[in-house]
Amino acid sequence: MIRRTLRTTLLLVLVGLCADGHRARAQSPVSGVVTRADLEAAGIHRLSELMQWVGGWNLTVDGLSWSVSPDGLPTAALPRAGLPEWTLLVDGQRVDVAALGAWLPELAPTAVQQIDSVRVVRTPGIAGGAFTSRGVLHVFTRRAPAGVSVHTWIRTGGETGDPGPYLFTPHATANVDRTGADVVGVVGYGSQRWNAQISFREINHSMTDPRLIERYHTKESQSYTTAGGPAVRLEAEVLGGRHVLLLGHTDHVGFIFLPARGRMERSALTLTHVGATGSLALRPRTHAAYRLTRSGHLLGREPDRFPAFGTHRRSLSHASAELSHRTDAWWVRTGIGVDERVLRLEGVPESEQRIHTTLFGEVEHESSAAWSQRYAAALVQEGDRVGFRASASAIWQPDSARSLSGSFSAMQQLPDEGTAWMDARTVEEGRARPNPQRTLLWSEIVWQQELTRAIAWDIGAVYGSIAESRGAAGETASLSSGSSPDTLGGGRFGVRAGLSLDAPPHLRGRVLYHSIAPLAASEDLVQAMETIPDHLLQGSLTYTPVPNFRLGLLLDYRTSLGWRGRELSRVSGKEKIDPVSRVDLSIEKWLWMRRVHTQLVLRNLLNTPERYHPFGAQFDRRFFLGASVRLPHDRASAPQRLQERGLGR
Amino acid sequence: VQLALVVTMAALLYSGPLTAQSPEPFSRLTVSAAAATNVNRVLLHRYWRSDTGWLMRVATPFYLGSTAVVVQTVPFTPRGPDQLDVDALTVLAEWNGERVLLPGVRGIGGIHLGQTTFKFRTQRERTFIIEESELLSGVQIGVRTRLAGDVGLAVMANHQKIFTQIPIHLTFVACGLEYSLATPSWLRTFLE
Repeated sequence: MIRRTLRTTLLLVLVGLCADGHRARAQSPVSGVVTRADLEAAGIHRLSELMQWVGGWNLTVDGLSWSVSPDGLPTAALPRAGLPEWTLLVDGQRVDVAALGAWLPELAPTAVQQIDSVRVVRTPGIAGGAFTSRGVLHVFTRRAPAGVSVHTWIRTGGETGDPGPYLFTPHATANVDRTGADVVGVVGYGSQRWNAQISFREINHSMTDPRLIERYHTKESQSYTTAGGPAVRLEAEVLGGRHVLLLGHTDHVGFIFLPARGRMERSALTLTHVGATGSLALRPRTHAAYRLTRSGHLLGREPDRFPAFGTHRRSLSHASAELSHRTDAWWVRTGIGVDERVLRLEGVPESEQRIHTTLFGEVEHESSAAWSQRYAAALVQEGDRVGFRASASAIWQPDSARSLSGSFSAMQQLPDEGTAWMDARTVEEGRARPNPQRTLLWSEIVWQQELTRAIAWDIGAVYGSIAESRGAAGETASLSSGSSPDTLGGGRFGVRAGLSLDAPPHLRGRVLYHSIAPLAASEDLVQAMETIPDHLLQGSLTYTPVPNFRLGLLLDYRTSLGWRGRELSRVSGKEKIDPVSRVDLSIEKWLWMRRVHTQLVLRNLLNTPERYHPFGAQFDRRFFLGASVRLPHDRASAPQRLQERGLGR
Repeated sequence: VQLALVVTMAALLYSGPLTAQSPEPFSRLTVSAAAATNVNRVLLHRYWRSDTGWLMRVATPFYLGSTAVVVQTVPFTPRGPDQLDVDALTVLAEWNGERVLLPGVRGIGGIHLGQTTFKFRTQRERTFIIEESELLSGVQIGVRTRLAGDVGLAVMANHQKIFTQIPIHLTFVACGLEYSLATPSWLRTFLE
């Protein structure tokens, strides 16, 4: 009763606050910006934790690997092959963090502590030299301040529920390990034209659920996962443009969840990323931009009697070039991008590869008083197959207190796009089947209005559909564990609503509500959608009474999930996952003229059952204690990159 | 006991302004040392008997009320041969409100959050063999009075909930002396 009352009170506080003196802009349900201050106040210090802020349907087994479904389609953690996934961009460079059906953000060559802001786009469009079908998570890193700078950070924590002194009594229970320590170190140098950073990061993630430890821990293996490595970021303003070189090497040793097998697997995974991006001003209003990136994975596993996959290498190479021209109201760009995915299995001399070429174009017309419009189209070619994607969006009075926006996208997905064919070769060799060609539609409409100068709200509706066709051309395998020739098809309809509060310098908050349900969908899609919550409510409130002290409150509520046995072979029948209602609290204090930052984060404060997956851990109340030192001192400045264009697009 | 502590603390905080004259944040330090004794009985006491412990407390004015860091150690002696000696080392951060109750007497009450580490040791060798730590939170109330100059007397009661699998509720009463001094400028610069 007390918990229910507290939850209701928190919700009322979140939605009822009002203030004057500053104009709030509601975060659009189709895209939004998460700033460094938002991340710090929420106690988010891992890229995997960032998934909580993405605002789509997200799913985790162990808190380290995540899947996100922004549109109601199955997540990558479901065995549904070939669906497009979210795209992760770091300073405009695509980083391939998907492996074996899992999304492992910790592979990315950057740490949360280096982030300046994150732009989250939930609709299809052109980004990173390609047409992204299901949204983009674009991470912009901070530039090093002028001169030499040093930033070190450490965090440790643990879950509650230890046996304590009862360890040697009849009341003894299973021990619960602590998690961490996570460490990040960055050395930087900044000047007018050059900016360089060398960083090293390491996270140590322990299984804290005794059931998982009992299931996977053996004498030969530890129950924790370590991820991290060095990264270099070099930015230069030379040759009439800005150029960024990003190098990173990440080792990920420990457990990852294999959706196709429905179990966690101890493995060693290495990501090496090399990328260069840049833009040049050809004329005052005409720019050229380029991207050259390569993300290479080496996946190996410890010897096992029944290995789920063999040692292999996979890589994604991308090259793109584009031209853009701007007038007062118009912005036009066109470009070409080439993606090459290569798979090399150990002991097999021949490697396999898929090459996709994308031609894209985009036109944008800006008007603050009337309609602003944007049209994008892309042709994707692989061999003799061609897929077509197009999107159109419009906003009425984007800069006024009331605005209306709408978008429509249509996409033809080729059978072998993405990583599914590689996953099938390495994990599901025995159960390969043709991969279908899919057509996806996505549309949405959003009304946004300011209530006061500090509070804004928005409401929107979305509709999406998917249709599959299995032609003779489909030759590659898929990751489906089902044996029936099922078809993922049909529609889904949803609503979104948001409320934003922005009353600097003291209060900042937001509440987001999402709901989506199948509409004339196939049985396959209906079952897939049961694995994501029907309703999701997320809220945050940041209170800064004085500049060097901040309190943060987070609320997360999601309805129950249902997993069918056919999706995961080890589950018989339908397993229900209870609703999750979580409240987090963060307390921050800066010391020594903002050179030192300390933070205490309490997650799942009310200790309610928190579980996302039938095989996943139950997360109890947990706490994290972090500290960082930044020299020279940390200026509480606005994000550097929000208004930048060119590299970010 | 919990209810009495919470009601008393709430009454203390809501019955008037926190302080008659709020001092500048971090302007003064109040260092106290006290003896602490465990006054309630729970499942834990079926296996251990608590002995008198000690605590050290450093408090300073905060933006609202005051904040303090407390280190407390309490030894527990086993009641039977199957258990080991245990030392409970608690480190916690407090936030307190304070008001004048009577001339020369101030009431204090607030909340705390910290961690308790149970250090086991064999009865033959005074060597720690294992430790178990866990999060705790709770409330505290007390009274303070000035004895002479910057020296004062403080009597505090605190109730802690330790979030072990079987939660442990412990109530302590502590009595000791405190000494108040101006915060050194270098430390104040650091804290600000």
